[in-house]
Amino acid sequence: MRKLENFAKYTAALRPPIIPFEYYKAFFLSIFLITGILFTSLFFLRPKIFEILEIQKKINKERKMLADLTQKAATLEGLDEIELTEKTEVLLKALPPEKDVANILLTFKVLGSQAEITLQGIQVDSGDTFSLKIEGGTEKIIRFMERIETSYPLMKLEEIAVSSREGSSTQATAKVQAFFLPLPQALGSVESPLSLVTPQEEKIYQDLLRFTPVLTEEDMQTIQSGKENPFTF
Amino acid sequence: MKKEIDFLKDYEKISSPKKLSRFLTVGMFVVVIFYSLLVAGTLSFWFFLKKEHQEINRQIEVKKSQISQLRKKESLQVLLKQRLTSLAKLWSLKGGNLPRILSFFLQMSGEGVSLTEIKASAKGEVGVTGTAPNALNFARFLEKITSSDNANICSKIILTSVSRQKDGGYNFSLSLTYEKT
Repeated sequence: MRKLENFAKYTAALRPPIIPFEYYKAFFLSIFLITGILFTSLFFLRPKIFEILEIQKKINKERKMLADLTQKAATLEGLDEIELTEKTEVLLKALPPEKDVANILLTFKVLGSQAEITLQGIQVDSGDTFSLKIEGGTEKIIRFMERIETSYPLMKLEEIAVSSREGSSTQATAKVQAFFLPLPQALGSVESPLSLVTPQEEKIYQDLLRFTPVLTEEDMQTIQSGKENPFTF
Repeated sequence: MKKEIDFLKDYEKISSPKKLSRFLTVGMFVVVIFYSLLVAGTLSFWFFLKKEHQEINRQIEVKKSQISQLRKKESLQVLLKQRLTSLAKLWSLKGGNLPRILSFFLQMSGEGVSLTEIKASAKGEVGVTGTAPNALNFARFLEKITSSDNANICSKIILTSVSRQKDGGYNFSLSLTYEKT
């Protein structure tokens, strides 16, 4: 009997203590909360953090765009429209938007009569290169050639050959290249940066002002054709 | 007195069910508070960024409409820039100044030497053909062309041919390279 009591005591000591349910509650609650935290982190917090990073990238890009647009708007505000119009008119006379053979031929004729030389022949080699055959005094031929290079539309003497014989007037041939430049087809997007005129280009414009137009406005009339261009004013 | 270090003391502190339960409850409370703060902070920052994004976009639209109203000025500026850029290229190609070369050789002739033909190209090549009544005049002509005053005009002068005529005169031809300005 005594042994049995001892055995019961011994087994009771080995048996784990009975833990009340309220102590398990905290354990289950912890598991539930940790699971909840993990789920919300994975499906809510993580996407939000990625979204934040994405928005920050966009904001940085848009801030730069805003700064560029602000600068562009301020630059445009600062430009004088009248001055721009005057300058572009001069430049369009100097560098016409299209090949205009008739106007160039007329320019040669007017320059020839101003320089008092005889234009014996004009040959159009291609749309922008002309071969001239001239007769007259040497000084007058030189003056004529100088005027070609300092008149609107812009032209360049590629080759000249002058021959003179005693007792006869000087004969000359010249190959002249005329320049033209088509108008830009599009303005570009609003975001595209505005290129300003550099001091070197401003100097070129000032040089160009020394050039003189040969033909009057009436002479410059050309036939309008093709699509409407946004650069015609 | 014998002292002992009991390493199990702390373990026993929390290993008892009651203490473990309290530890878990307090621990989870702290974790939940911290997590809630993190979520609240993230959401607030996200909301703030969204607002800022919208505000920047609004400002961009305002600027775009402002620029659209200045479209005419912009088109003039683009046209001006296009023409001037092309002119800058043309200017760099220019510089032949052939009338100047013609004038130069006309000044050089005279004193008996007459130039019958002058050919010049924008590439900088000049060919001159002429006649001189005698060797002295021809020598003077050559001396004038090659003098230091004219060194900045002609960089290279080659006497291509000289032939003496029956009357004592000379027919000559020169090939020159002139300095572009």
